[in-house]
Amino acid sequence: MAETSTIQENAKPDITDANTYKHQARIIEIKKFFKDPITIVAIAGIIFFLLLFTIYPLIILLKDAFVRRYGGVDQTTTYQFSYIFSTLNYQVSIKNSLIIGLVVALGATLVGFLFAYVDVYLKVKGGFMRALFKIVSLLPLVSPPFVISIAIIVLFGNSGLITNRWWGISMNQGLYGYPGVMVVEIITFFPTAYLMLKGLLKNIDPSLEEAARDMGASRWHVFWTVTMPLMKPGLANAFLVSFIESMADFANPMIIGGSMETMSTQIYNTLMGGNGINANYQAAAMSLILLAISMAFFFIQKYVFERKSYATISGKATRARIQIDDKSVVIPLEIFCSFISICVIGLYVVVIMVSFWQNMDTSDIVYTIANWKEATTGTGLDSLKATLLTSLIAAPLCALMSMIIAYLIVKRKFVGRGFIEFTSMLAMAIPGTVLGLGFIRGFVKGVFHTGWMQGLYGTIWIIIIVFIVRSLPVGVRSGVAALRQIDKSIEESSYDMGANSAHVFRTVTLPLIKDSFFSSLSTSFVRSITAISAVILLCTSNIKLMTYVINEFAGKGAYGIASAYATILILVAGVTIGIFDFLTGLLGKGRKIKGAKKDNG
Amino acid sequence: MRKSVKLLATILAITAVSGMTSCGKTSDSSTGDNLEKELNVIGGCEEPYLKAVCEAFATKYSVKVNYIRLSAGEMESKVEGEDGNPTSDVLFGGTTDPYNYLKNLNLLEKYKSVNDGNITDSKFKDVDNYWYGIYKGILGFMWNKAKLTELGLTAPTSWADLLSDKYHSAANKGYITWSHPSTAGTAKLTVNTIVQLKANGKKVTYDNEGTQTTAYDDTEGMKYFKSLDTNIAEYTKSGSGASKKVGSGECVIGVGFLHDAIYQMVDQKYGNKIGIGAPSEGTAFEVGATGILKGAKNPNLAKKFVDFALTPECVELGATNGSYQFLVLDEKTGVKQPQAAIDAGLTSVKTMDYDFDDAKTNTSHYVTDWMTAVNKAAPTA
Repeated sequence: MAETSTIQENAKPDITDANTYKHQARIIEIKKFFKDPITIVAIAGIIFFLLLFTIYPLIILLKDAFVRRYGGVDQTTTYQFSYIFSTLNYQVSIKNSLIIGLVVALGATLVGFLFAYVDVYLKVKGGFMRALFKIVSLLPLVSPPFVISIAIIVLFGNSGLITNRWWGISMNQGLYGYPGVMVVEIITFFPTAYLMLKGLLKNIDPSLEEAARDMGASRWHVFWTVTMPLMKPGLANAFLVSFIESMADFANPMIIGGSMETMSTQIYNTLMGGNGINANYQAAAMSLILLAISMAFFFIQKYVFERKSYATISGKATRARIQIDDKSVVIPLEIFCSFISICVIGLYVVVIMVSFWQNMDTSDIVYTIANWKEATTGTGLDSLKATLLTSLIAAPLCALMSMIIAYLIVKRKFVGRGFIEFTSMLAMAIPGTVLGLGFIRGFVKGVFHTGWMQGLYGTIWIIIIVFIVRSLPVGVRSGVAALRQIDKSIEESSYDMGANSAHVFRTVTLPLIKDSFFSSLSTSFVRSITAISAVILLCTSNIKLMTYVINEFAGKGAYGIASAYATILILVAGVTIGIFDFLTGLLGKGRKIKGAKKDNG
Repeated sequence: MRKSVKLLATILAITAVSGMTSCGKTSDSSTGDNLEKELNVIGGCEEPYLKAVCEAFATKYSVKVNYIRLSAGEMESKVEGEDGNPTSDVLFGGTTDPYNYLKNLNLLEKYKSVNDGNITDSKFKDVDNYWYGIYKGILGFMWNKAKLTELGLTAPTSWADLLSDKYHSAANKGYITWSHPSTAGTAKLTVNTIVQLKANGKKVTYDNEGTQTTAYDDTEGMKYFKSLDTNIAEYTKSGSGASKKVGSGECVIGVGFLHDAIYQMVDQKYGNKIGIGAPSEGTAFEVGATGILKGAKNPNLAKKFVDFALTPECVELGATNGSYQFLVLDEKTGVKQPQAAIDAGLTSVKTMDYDFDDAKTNTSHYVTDWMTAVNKAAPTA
């Protein structure tokens, strides 16, 4: 920690007076830093956490990827990589992942942008459209894996309700593989793009576009020459995020991919196929390749486009936008978005319906409540408890940690800040399967096989930690965004009056980032209860999560029970979001009323 | 940035050192004759069967039994990953492949059960008492009757039959669902079966990760699979994939275990919508096993569990819980074979003289050859 004195190396040589002043200011800052043990402990704790639970599992995989057991001895070699790149099976799955990723990212960004544009720019009538948009943007985010795939198979599969029973197509084999996976992933990921782009569109100052209109440009011309250039970095951002999500998706290709494999499914299958020790090393090598691709896109997203979007769209729009009410624009777009929305909602209705089916025989549907009975008793009840327990512990810890990290990144300067910022966001680029593999390989015999922390594996805590690591990027991002809007002077005045950092954080910063705290609380809760790829390897006979059970049943073709479980999860997630929304609203009001009273008094 | 790297290194070093100091502290729980209070089971059989067995054992000994179901491959990977520090005590069900593999890695505990005599056929227990058989499952064909009629087809009756041109559409889309040899134990068994049938006893040697090993000549076998590939609709990840899709008609013809199909007919209520049969050339069977994990935290209870698993009281729970495999206990124990399997005509199925020893060493060799020969990773679309 002694190197702290050289933090601001980039201070340019200036006039001597200014230099001395800056130097003194720096010394004061450093002194303040060391007088503040709470901050130091927090920083050390967070760095420790990130090293152990994000970097270390990756190091283990890195180590495994360069091993081959030959003649009964482990050799250090690049053999696994040359094997992967020379085996057609692996080449094809890399190609599949990339093609699906690109198409899905393109589709999700496009659909997401249309939704965002309609939402922000068009004058849409009535609460119906608003409600549709709200539901459609939320549903895929709160729904567990498999759900959309199951619904699509039931409707359009070889014995699909629509394709087989209504249209009389005896086999619809074209669905399995690229088309199925692409459609399902676009439906799953476009809401994320929509929410990202909606925020950006809202921040565009309408004056820019109106000025162009006033000078006689057509609406189309304004769209292409003003709106689009402003949105370009945002669109690129949404594209890259969707691409990373698609690359990491494990559940959907598993169920609707037919005999097609993507990198995520192949890692799982190689590892779980019982193909001997070298298969483990192959899986590790494959994980590294997947990680490298995801990280490359993550870097581009973070260091090229995220910066740009901050630079172009700064602050908030100065006033409300005059929304477009031209019928020739509004009606087609409205129809398009409503159609997609209704289709998506329809898929969820199908899932609820299937949860009451005795089996998947669409020619002879028998209704039953047996699935619900099974999902709410015995294993069902146990798994619900395990899911709730782990997620309820993980969510507040994750939200709190996100806020502390965001606070440190934005408000403090210290050695290792770059590391914390980078590593806490890194989890976004680590596919769940890869992280899960790193955890099981890394902790089962303790850290570096020393036995230290061995007790962690097989407890609920390892699952809780994975949940936290997986949700941290979302929380930190929202915390950083919220904190950047708060002026530093508010906190400084509190420090000047003698408060320590914990006190300042609790009484000044926290109330100001409350909304962001609650939103990351509910996001991490929902992400945790619906997580599958990262934790499937970590479930044990004591701890069976609901998503694990859904995976078991869906894999067996018992879609009825899987759907009942999925419906319960969606309900839990929906109710939770509702409660948090309500709480946030309540607290927000409370603050306003208090403020008003003070003003009056 | 360089500073943070330095810091990273320091903290890593501290982590490692503090890790070292606590090394070796892991306590060895003392083992007396007393039974432990809790048992953790990994099951490779179907969930209802596993659940029933665990509950029966829990009641019998007034203990708590936790269980998790994993496929055979997952079971093997999990135990191997846990590498002697298992979160579970005992394995129940699943093919013998993972048991043999784990035995070689020294991850199973040797135990001669008091009920050892209940199994007389040496095929159904490990020669060194690392595992015991509990059931046998027969490999065969299953089909959706309505889909066959719709497509104007007849059901296959032999392995050779599966290659027929009628089992793919004009657009070269196959109608047969089989599982993927890299993931499914069922598919590995099928690969071994075909290789053994086609090799006619001819053997060759190959380089097995540094050791010269003798195996069946799989040239003819791989020709078969290359040709079969045209008729394949999907290679499912799990061995029971076909059976789960055949009832609804998602799958037209499936290759897999016949007891899985019976489960769909009886328990999933697909009834006579599914037809089943076995190949006339003779078919192979799997043996489901049970065994104790090395380093089990509850070793005494685990032994009692294995004793229990070798009684009719335990294995007959299969038939009442949707698992219709034939039981391997000796007739003198009075064990009752599942009626549904007898009704389905499985007693008359012709089985081949399957070379289990060859399968133990050479399965991954055949699977690698299969991957090169077939290369079916490309999307069907």
